Amino acid sequence: MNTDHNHDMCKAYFAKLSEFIDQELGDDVCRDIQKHLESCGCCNACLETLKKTIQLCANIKDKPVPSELSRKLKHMIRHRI
Amino acid sequence: MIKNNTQGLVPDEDQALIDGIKRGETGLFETLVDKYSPRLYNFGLKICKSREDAEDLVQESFINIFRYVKDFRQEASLKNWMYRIAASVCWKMKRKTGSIKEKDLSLEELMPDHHASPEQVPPAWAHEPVAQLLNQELSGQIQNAISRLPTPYRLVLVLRDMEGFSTDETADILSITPANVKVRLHRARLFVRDDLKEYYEHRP
Ligand SMILES: [Zn+2]
Repeated sequence: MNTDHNHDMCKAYFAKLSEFIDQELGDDVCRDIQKHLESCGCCNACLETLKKTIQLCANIKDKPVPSELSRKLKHMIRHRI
Repeated sequence: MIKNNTQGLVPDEDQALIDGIKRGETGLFETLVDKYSPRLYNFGLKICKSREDAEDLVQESFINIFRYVKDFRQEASLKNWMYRIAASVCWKMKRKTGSIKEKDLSLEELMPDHHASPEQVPPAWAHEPVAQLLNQELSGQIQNAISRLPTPYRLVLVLRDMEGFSTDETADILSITPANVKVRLHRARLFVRDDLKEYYEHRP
């Protein structure tokens, strides 16, 4: 276990987890977070559930356009222009 | 905003469509609707409270798109410009229905209390494949959580994680800073994550 591991550090890293997942952080910060994750089960569990949440959101299926709406849109084109 | 240096225009997969419409080929409006109404309708479903509102949003968006496309200056791609219109229609609709003050999301509240509930290992659902998890019930659960997000957060999460826009594109569509997109996105994701955690913890 990391000796300098404390709640404040978790808090600081917790704020950056999305940017970490999206690879929007610099190499240094990335390395720090990676290292922290290896020693902190809480933050790691947080990361894994957050990643899964993002994947789930991205994979929700689209619905087809109701034919009534398509009809209205075509009608709009014909009568407005 | 990414600009092409020589013309100040963003390269656009819809260039032929834009050119045709600007030449007055109004028949191309139908092409525009065929191509983008599925996208805008599903965007509407994710950001509106009901299917009826989503349909209104699509119609109102296309009215504005038809009206202003002739003046479209290509500072963004056509697709992004259409999303910008749809997002502003969303805000207008919200204002019209009477604005209930929405709560802000604080990071503090979304942060798990490490001392109270020390979850040291990821729960089982974090390891299961998406295809296995994502049945109709879970889709409904997630959509419900998204619908409970305050509007500024919901718009960012939907654009970034569901519609596939980058941080910069999302910032441009919503006229906010990229830093603001990142802050809102993180909190919105954590909010949905908390809801999923709760869902799995209380499942029989
Ligand atoms: Zn930690």
